[in-house]
Amino acid sequence: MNNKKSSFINGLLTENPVFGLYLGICSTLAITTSLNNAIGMGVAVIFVLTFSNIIISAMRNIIPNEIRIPVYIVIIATLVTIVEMLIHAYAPSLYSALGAFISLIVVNCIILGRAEAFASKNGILASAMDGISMGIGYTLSLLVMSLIRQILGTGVLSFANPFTDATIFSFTIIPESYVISMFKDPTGAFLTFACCAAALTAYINHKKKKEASK
Amino acid sequence: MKFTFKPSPNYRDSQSTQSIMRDLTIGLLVVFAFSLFYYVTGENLGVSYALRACGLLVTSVISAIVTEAIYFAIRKQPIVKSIKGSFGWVTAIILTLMCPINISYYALAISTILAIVFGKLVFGGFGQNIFNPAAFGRAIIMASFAGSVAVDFATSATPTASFAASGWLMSNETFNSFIAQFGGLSEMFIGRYPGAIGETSALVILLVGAFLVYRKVIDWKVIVAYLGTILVSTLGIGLVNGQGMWYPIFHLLTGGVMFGAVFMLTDPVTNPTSSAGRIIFGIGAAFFTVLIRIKGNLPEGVLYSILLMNMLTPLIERLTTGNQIKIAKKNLRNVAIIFVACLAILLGVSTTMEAKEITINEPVEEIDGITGTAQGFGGEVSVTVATDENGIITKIVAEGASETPNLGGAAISTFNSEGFAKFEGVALADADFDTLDTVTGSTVTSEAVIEALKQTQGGSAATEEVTEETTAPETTEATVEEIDGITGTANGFGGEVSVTVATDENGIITKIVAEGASETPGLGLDAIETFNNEGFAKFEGVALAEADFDTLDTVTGSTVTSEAVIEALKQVQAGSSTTETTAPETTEATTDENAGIVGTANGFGGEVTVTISVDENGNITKIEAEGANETAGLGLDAIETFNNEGFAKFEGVALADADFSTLDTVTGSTVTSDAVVEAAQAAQSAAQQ
Amino acid sequence: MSFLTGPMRKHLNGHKELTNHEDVLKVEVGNLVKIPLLNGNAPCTPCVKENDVVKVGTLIGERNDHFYVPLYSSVSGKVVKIEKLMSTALRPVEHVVIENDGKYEVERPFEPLNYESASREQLVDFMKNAGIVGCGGAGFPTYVKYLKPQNIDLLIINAVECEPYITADYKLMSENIDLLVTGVKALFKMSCAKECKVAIKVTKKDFIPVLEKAFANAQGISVFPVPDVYPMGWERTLVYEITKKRYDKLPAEAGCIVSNATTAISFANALVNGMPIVEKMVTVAGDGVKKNCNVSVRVGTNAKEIVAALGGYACDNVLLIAGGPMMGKTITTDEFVIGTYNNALTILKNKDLEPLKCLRCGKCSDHCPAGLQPVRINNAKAAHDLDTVAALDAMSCIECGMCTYVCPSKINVTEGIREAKRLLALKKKK
Repeated sequence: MNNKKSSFINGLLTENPVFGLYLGICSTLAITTSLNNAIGMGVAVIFVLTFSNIIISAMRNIIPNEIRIPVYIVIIATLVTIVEMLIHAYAPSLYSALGAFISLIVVNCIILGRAEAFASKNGILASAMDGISMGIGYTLSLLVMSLIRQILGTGVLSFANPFTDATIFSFTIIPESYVISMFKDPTGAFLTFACCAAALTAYINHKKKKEASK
Repeated sequence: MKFTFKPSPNYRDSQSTQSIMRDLTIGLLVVFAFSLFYYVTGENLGVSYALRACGLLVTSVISAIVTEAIYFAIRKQPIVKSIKGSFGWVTAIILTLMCPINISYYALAISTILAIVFGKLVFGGFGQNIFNPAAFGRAIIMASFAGSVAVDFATSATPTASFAASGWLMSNETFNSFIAQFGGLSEMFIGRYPGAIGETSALVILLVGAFLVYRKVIDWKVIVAYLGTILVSTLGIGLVNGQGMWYPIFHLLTGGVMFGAVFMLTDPVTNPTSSAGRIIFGIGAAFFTVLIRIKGNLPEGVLYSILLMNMLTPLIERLTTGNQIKIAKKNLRNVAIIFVACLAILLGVSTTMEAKEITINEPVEEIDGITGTAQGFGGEVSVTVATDENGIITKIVAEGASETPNLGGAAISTFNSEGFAKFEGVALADADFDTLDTVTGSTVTSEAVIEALKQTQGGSAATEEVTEETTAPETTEATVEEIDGITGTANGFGGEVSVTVATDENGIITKIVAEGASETPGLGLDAIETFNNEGFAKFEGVALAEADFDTLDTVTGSTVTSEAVIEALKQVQAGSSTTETTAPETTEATTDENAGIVGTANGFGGEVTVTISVDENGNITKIEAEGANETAGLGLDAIETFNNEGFAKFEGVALADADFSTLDTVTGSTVTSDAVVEAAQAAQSAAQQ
Repeated sequence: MSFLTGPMRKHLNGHKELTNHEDVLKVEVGNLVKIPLLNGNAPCTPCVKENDVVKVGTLIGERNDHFYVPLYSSVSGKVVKIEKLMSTALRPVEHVVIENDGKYEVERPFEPLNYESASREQLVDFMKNAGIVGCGGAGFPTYVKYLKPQNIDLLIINAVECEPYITADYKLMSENIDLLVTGVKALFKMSCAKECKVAIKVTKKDFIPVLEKAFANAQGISVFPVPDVYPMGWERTLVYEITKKRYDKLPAEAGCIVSNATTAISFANALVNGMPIVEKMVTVAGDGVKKNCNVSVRVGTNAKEIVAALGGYACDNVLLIAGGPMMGKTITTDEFVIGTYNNALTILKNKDLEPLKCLRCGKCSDHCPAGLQPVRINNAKAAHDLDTVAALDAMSCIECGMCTYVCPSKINVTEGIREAKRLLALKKKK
């Protein structure tokens, strides 16, 4: 249990897929302009990641090694298509906000990476846990980035129900004339990403130093 | 006795990094001092501008130093010593000098902080950054804070922005009047024209630059390579596109080229370390500056060219690796190739440049509605709001013939084409005209338009007839042309312009002939010739009443004349419904046919009549004034104002009791106003008889 | 094309006025004279042993590898021992320690030679046996340069003395014009050159006419004033200045031979008086010593004696430099001696310098006389990128110190390049 817990924490921090392993960056940079997008994308990825891990892990003994990558892609693509259709049907505003990036989940390196590195070598339950933890790590990373970008770039922290578009909450933290609109743009995305990655690396190094000095 | 071991050499020059930075700071402050001088003594400016400039400088410097202090405190390095060795204030001063005077304190502070942190500190501090931190900060401002400006400091458009709007090409004559707005090329060289705080004075910057080169603080090779390449390439571009010798000089003097050359491209940290490398750096920066200007969507290329070349510096260093003596030939060859390639590309691209028309007064749609006027930048700005029967706005048309072309004039065009759209469908009484998107660089004009709009709200209730452009020509008697037809006249550029329209018995246009002997040869006269030869052809065979003369192809550079011709044509149209004689020349409110008591008086240019309608009780229902011969823009407008609103106060009042001397006269039209009062009083007395 | 490179030179304040016009002080050597068995960086084998009696001019040591350099005693007395002492080469070297009997009895090792009647080969042999070495500071056996001159158009006599503080050459020349003329003419003959130019700084306004007069009757020999910049005295810079040619390894490729003026005088002294180099003109200057002037000392005099004769040190913590401040090395003891090719002691008060960060101004690259880019070499070395260091031709660095001199951040750039060279040499060895 401890092992599972520590690997779960790992997925959030030291092996954080976005800021630690630098996977899935393009979608991170592109869609983290608002909380809604972040959570929507995060949930989608958790879903795809978990189920693809489960399926691939279940089939790991029967997939021939030479064609494993195309097989993984087919599985992942199927799941992504299901997710895309669901989002299109039930949360159309999220669909238009995320746009092409839902389809791009197929080539999100996290999913293929975990399939290759973990699911193809481990049991179903472990793979499922790994998928969930990686997915949650990814979602939390997206959350952090979109919080920063949304607050600095638009001044407003808001969240709307993705299914009904009703605003659940909306706080204006920075008055409109004082926002730094650069953060809404790719420039701000890169800057925020760099800062978050640097912060995580600093934390990891700090921990390593502490362990080394023990 | 101690004999210290110290590796050779043990001899040092006196110049130190501290002295270099100190000289640089002094140079920058000299440029800043000139700006203060300009603000204090310049037209429409004043001490408040100078104070604001000082305030901005102080804000930026403090932001920089505080940011660095916090950074060094976190990194546990000795704070004062590190700040002294980090020279953050130089970045702050350069950044401030690059900004316009009306930037907000907040924007400048945030940009300085971000520039210092992400432009310098994260790379390892002083000496390690890739990008010029001040340029980085300015780019942040452009990306995030373009609209974050202090409202009370009006900007007039900079020469760069205006020239850029014309597609970086202009005919020689147009340029003369264009540059006269800013005092000519000599004033541009001295620096007394609107622009960023420190970038305007080529003279001061060059002098400071020469001083810094003499003190061996900056390298002259970068400056010469940069300015030289801009000069040669813009000379070529100018020749290819038929521009005069002023073209390369204008490029050099405008948009921060001088400032960038002396203070930013020479920044030793971000440019290559070898002489050959720096020359390539200067050539490349010039290439990007000119390319972005002539082909990019931005008015200014200097900033981004600096950042792009900073990015290419490691590549240039790679190119110049080796023993400088041994690779001297290779370096020379590379420099030559790069120079020629850049020149060739620029010249090639410049053949696709198109001059954009800067129309001074576009023919404005005529609509019925309530008119409001206000004082704009160069003259009066008027706005007509058309509403439906429920008071809902259907259309708004603005007009400001005397506004600066490309600035106020362009703003008005923008309003007409899109800015007013948001008000359509809104009830006039509820419309919040303050939300009109003003156009940068045309603050005065934009505000005048808003004011005029608000006037219409508070204006009269009754809708009136057509209001015209303020270049409404004066009406005089008709002169019959060589063809038989209806003649209309209007005031052109140099004098009267007249147009005769011949129609057949069914009212179909058979021929149109225009004439304007006093127009400028080469401009107005040529335009009239063009109309006569071809421009009017499209109207032949069209029914006069239906002809849309606004579609007449106006000729660039002869806008006034062209519009006068259109005006005159419309006159004909209006007058043709009555008789075939000279157009009655009523350009403004045509008098209502309602019966009423008429009074006349002598106005400024001719007779002024006032028609007062009363009901059965003797109360005034309506007053209508008319003065066809009054001066357009003054008396005519005054009469219009009276018709729209001035007379409102008398409605419902008993004619006998009305005191017409309380009529609000209109400034600048005293004679006409008095005439109207007199005429009204005459009508009053006539009624009582 | 010089706009593509920097000036590659700079005028330095040479402080020549400190010692130019002071009288030359003759400093007698003390009891013990120690002659270093060293030529350049090559050790020499002793030819005497303990208790041998020697006179001025006795052969006491030889360099016998691919070059031959004889070393002669500068005093008469008894050999006490062979002792290892710190030398100006910054490492301990064997010295022949002689107890000075104060009599200075001479034993001429060779007879004078009339250069006009001697053949070229004879002159070369003579030079070899006289142990004439390059007095510009490196101590290279001069005869090697004149062994087989081919296609030599120009003999350059280097009287530039660009190193700050040093005026020894100038002082020696002004007191030994005749010997200078003899030496130059002899070298001219040995070099088979078509022309000879005596290069001297243009700012030596009083001395140039003297030289011109001295060489007025010499066929093919003229005086060539050169700009007062550092490092004008460096062979490559000087050859380029006069001939506008550059060469790869040896000046002979550009058709030139370069010899120092003091070397010429020493050669003339051997030719005329049959004496090897036993006395040296040494400039002692700097704010770390009480008196600044030129001293004439016997080879083997140690720095302590010289400084004592001049009144001692001016403070407690000094940089004791053998040579000039630019290229001379600091020695951590004053017990080292003046050898046959040392001509200066620069003593400076030790001041702490706090270097700032490199601001990549490129002044070092602009002023490097060898055309290198020191800032990039240092950065590449710091990044452990030895390929770029090699591509930047770091091995060509002569450690003239120009880069460090101009650096506004007061970084010791030269030391960085030395380290880079060491790393490259290590890498090659592997």
